[in-house]
Amino acid sequence: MFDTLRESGWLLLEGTMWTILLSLVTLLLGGVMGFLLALIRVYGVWPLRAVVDAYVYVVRGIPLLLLLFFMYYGLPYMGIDLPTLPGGIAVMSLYFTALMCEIWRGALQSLPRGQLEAARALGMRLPLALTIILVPQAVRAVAGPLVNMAVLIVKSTSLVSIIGLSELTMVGHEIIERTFKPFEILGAIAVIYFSICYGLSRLGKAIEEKVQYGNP
Amino acid sequence: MDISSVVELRFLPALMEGATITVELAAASGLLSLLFALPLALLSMSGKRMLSAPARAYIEITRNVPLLIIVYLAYFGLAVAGSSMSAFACGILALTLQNSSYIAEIYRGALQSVDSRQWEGGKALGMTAVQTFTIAILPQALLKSLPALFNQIVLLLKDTSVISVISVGELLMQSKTLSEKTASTYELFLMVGAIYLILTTLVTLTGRVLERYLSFSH
Amino acid sequence: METHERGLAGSPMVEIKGVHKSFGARPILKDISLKVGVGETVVVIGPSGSGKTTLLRCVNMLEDFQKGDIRVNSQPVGYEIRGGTRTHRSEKQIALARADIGFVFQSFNLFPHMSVMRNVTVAPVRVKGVDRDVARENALRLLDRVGLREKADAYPANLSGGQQQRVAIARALALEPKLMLFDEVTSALDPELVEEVLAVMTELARDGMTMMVVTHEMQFARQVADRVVFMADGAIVEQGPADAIFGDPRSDRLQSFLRRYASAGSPALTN
Repeated sequence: MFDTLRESGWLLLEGTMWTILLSLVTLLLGGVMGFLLALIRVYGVWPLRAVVDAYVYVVRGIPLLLLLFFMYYGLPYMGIDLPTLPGGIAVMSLYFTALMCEIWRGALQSLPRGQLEAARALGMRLPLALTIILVPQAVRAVAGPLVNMAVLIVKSTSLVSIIGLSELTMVGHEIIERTFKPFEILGAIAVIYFSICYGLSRLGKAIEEKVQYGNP
Repeated sequence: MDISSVVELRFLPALMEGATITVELAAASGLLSLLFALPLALLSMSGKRMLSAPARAYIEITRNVPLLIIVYLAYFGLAVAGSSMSAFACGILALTLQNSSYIAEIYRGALQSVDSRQWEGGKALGMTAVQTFTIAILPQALLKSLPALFNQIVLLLKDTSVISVISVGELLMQSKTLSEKTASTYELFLMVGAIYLILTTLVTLTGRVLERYLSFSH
Repeated sequence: METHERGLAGSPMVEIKGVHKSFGARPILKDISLKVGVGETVVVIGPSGSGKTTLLRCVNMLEDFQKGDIRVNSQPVGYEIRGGTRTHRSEKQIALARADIGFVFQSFNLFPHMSVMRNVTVAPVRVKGVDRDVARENALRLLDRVGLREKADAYPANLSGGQQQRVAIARALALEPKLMLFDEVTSALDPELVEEVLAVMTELARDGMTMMVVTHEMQFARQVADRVVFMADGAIVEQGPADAIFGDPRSDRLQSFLRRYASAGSPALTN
């Protein structure tokens, strides 16, 4: 069994690297766009808020795989020739932007109303209040849910293997096809995913504690 | 523009069949998960290391591995074991394996959030721990977990789409087959998306109605 | 010194004219008119739901109102009435006006992610463009005044309620406002911490700050107020010097209100 692993080790490493890369890009794009959408959602005017609401509602109500399938199977028939890698990144980002919007919204709305009122009473306008008072506090509130989201993203990257994008699961498939040793490979892949995700969730707990106010 | 040009009615029979299987997958694994998760949660909360450690290990492992991998493992596992279980049942197995963990964590959170003074109240009334639990604690915990449970059901419905990889004819599989067969464009996926949206919205609304009804009767 | 008359000589600091506010169909403020003179301390008392907090919040436009006009230091705050038309002023204009008005909240609302020093200096530096070092010096002086100089580098989470509220007062004073508004600032405090905050407010009043104070602390009102205003059901029922209001209440509403406070064991009222 270990011979198999040794031979495939490098491939698995490469696959893991792609998984991590894809996850990071999704986390970044989704995190930033989700934040901007959340600002609209919490402080924006009604028409814009409704648009963001609709977007989040739809994306949260359908499976990620459906969006991936639509990009992969549907777009070519519409005459759109989008290479799978940017397409996959776009779909992942689109999907997780909606989820991130919700956690940023939760973080912003969890701040006591008095914070914005105090800032206003001191003569601050919304942009300034956001920058130095609200967002710094929101970042602390979002840290825990953000790490949970990161775990979700890592797990979700496995789905892009279904449309042929190379990451850990895809690589696993290729190795299994060659070596006919599904269990060793799947087991190794499971261990790798577990390590990343479990590690992230421990990191998340540590961050949550560090983010509490006040020095004991 | 009449509606039949947008909603390609010829797709409906196949899609409805797929939707039915989607709902069956979700319902079966949902019920099984709700059942298995309770002993799992209780074990994970046990003071005895020998009981809690395996339970916690199970929960952490199944929570931190992608569903797709669990599906593959279950599928290959059953094949190697020479089992004649259908892909459909295999799908239910895989979904249940992971969902039990999520629901166990929901139960655990709810149980721990019930005021610890409830236990004292039970003791003061002369009830045993088991009685206090079943009569006072558990109902409250179940009530508290309803929002999270309904959310989890929505996630479960969406997760059924992953079962398409082992060729179970649920909704997403149908859409893939149809799109290849008919070279159709966005109407197909739009309809599929709409069906998923209807299903998930129904679950969410049911959850809200139930919550409101139950919180009034208290 | 006739403190009551002192305030009204010259143009008043606060002019509230015909203010109406409804929340949907429910009226909250009914035709309120009130003037506060420069250096005057006006204490507003009344049962909960009387609209006194809402009135205070209207003064610096934390709440809007449907009819009427409020001017601070002869400048309009939230609405401007020119000719016959009443226009809602812009965000920018309102923010500028607020920088001249200090507001202290019942729940302190200190910024938890900033030290005490930064809480006090952030507004002068970022809103009024004061030089950072100058702002620090002023902050230290203010913290000294409220008795918390040594806590400059502490964070709000490490302070008691009374300390936090005193920092909040210093923070409001840092902008060198012409008017200070206090919204039930001791109601959220443990009883033994109330005195330290009232002491700061008393000193501020004696130093000549124009103040509007909404409070339940009757003893404070009696000792410090130049004028006491009694509100109920969204209207001003009675107002006058503290001795008149507490010693010789005219209206039934005020009498029953004071009786409730007397029976709740406030010895000061029966003195």
